[in-house]
Amino acid sequence: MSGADDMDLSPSRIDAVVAAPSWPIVEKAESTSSASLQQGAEQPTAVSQSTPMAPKPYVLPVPPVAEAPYAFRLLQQWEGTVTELAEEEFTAELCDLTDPANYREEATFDLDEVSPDDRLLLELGAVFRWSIGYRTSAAGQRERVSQLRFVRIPGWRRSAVAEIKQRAAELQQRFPLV
Amino acid sequence: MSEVAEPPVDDELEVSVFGPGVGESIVVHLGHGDWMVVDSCLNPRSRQPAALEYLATIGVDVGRAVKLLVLTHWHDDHVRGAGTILEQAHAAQVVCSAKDHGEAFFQALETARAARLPSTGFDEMTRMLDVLWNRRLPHQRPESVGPVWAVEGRTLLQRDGANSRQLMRVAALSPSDGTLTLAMHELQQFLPRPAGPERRAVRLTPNQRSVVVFAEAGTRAILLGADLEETSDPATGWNAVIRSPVRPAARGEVFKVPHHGSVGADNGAVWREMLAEEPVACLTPFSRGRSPLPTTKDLRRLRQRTRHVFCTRPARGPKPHRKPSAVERTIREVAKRRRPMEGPMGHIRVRGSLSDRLPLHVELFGPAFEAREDGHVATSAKS
Repeated sequence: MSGADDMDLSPSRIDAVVAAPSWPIVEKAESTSSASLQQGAEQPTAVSQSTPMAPKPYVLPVPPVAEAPYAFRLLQQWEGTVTELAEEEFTAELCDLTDPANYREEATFDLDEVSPDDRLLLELGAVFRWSIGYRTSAAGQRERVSQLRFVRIPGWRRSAVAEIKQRAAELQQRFPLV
Repeated sequence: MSEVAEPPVDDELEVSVFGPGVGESIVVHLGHGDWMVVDSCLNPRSRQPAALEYLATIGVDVGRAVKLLVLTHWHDDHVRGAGTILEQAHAAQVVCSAKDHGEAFFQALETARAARLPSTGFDEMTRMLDVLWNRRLPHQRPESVGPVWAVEGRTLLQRDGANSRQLMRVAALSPSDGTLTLAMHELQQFLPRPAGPERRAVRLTPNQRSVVVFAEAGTRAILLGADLEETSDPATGWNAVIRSPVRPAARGEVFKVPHHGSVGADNGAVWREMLAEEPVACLTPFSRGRSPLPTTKDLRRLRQRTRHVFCTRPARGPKPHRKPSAVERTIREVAKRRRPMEGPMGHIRVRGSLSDRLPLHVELFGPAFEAREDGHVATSAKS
């Protein structure tokens, strides 16, 4: 992660890089893919230049994958928070978003239920939406689907971390141990 | 069984324990209109703090009567709604564990404030610190504003009087000095790092930080065990409480059993040396995870300690609310296990005169029950 730690992966930085694609892109740089996937809804993918002149990898957004149009009828949705992680399964606390008056529940899932591109987001404390509904294709075919999608929020910016530390130090001074 | 809305008389101790499945809150009348709230949970139906709802029901003026709000530790099952209580309890001192202090703790608080995901325990702590800050006195030095940090042996509240019936003292028996020395390491993993993901700080393992409260009022004494667990280290956990040179000599007649009755929090010396014979033992369940607490075995063990064991509700809650059949089918296909974490809230109410040592009177409300010798339900509440 040292490479990612040194990069400012804020949205503005990504835009700046995308604005200057003046050389060919030939391969993915796996070393930075972890940080990039945790980045946010744009899911930027790290790529590097093939020539030896390229000093470091560049970050580009993945273009949205074109999907056949479909209609989705949501039947049920929960917000989940991962509370336990095991080798082959994870457990989450579920809050019913469809009917918030319902009591909280807890459920255990196989890791296989999580999409491969969401796996990196699966950590203790990670938040996801579990949606169940009917998906109807343009051809009229209906299928019942379940989808676990982990919330993608841009990672902490270096400046935000510094600000948190500063504010924490101020708060600690306000509330000294007596 | 009396009505739940009937308040205690002036010269009467009350210990009310609330538990919806995950979370607990204890409301104590220390006599003569002085109240204390230990931990907070929400009523899962109204999403309001159970303590506030109850005090409103019996007509207590929260702003004036609540003198102490103790947060035994920051786990979300003990602090939900605590910020709301403090906002209304204008006369209350707020007590936090002295272990909840240090660089990592404050960074975690500020992380919760900066995070886009609503968090749990830290949100409440941040809110309470803000209330305390806004409540500071004119010309008060900023450095002198803050909660009362509980440590072993510290007096949290006391009342003098012309006779012994009016005397009252509330003291913290933990965290121990040994625990403080071990502080803060566990929070490091949730602190933010550049480009790292935003996460909620979920429950972490040790409960040794918990504030155990011992209260004496008139002729009565109570021991509230929080979530303090037993450890192999004599300087932490219940061992440290037993060994403490400042442990009160009085014996508790009411015991809030620590950590939902788990065997890991059971210490024979506590029952032998700190509690009266056949005390009233109250506990709340923890209906999270594969092994909810208390188990039948736990209740059986507690029944060997005392004949009077009460729990706010069974550890296994009611079945989850049934969804449309298509949803239920999908849940069965996708989730390996599904369990309810909470249900209707139970309430145990113990009352007794502060002037004598006559037997205490126990009332049960909602799904609260008395445990039988074999660990099963003996008596359920009628209302």
